[in-house]
Amino acid sequence: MNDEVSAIRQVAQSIAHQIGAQDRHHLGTISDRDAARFHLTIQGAVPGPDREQAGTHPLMPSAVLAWGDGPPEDELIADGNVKDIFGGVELGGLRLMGGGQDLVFHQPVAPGTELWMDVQVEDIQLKQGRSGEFITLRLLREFRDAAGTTYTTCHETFLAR
Amino acid sequence: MTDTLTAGQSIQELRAEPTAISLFRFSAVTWNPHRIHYDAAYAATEGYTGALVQSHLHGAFILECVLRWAPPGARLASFSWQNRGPAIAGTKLTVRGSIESIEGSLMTCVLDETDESDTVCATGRATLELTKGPTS
Repeated sequence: MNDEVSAIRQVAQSIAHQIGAQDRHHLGTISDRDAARFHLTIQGAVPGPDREQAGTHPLMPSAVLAWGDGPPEDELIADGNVKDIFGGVELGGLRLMGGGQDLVFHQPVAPGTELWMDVQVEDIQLKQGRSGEFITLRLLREFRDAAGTTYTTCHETFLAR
Repeated sequence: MTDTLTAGQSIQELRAEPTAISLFRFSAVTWNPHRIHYDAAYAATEGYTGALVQSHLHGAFILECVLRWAPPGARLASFSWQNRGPAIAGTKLTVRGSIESIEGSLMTCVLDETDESDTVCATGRATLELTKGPTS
């Protein structure tokens, strides 16, 4: 077993211990400005007239990777990512790729709504690919307000190698 | 409009042309510092010929296709997308889809996003709650 494979297995074993445990993180609010920027970015890549937006884009809460200031630059790993990308799920410097999302929209998020995120590791698998071992990680993230009202439920799969 | 919707019906396709600026802006607004999305030289070290389109941006393009076509008043109930293959800045993407089913007030659409060579980059499924049930 080489060091790289060992590192992947160590990460998989470490995260496996977290399956089912839920962490709550305070996110803060999406401002009118950031909601508009998210929408504008997508519209900018689509030729023709822009679609009118009302409120926050449904994908925005689950697409934002970091809600706070984030770590200083010298604490980022070589590919630019943060070490602890999901708050409490330590990937040990592995390269991360988005695999997909399964979202339920309970109600729209109005800009200015203060949000919390409940994160839970649902599953982690160590797999063998053509170029070596990799991890599939499935997270459940639920976006709620202070009263516990759920706005978005997001199951998301990531690949890490 | 909802009265005329039927399973199997195609929905209006969407073309997306994400540029390096699009990718930079999407990384900025999602506070995503991963170099592969804005640093072409770094992306080359991972075998890509340009900055890589973010997986969430693929999802956003698929959803955009649905939202631009959706009947007035329709509410997005659920949406799923899966990454199937990479695309880089400058790739011309096309999202195509059709109505998979209509059950009561819920209409489900299936979609895929392809590049210029018709390679699938991402797939998706969206369910809309219609304000008035279709009669056909």
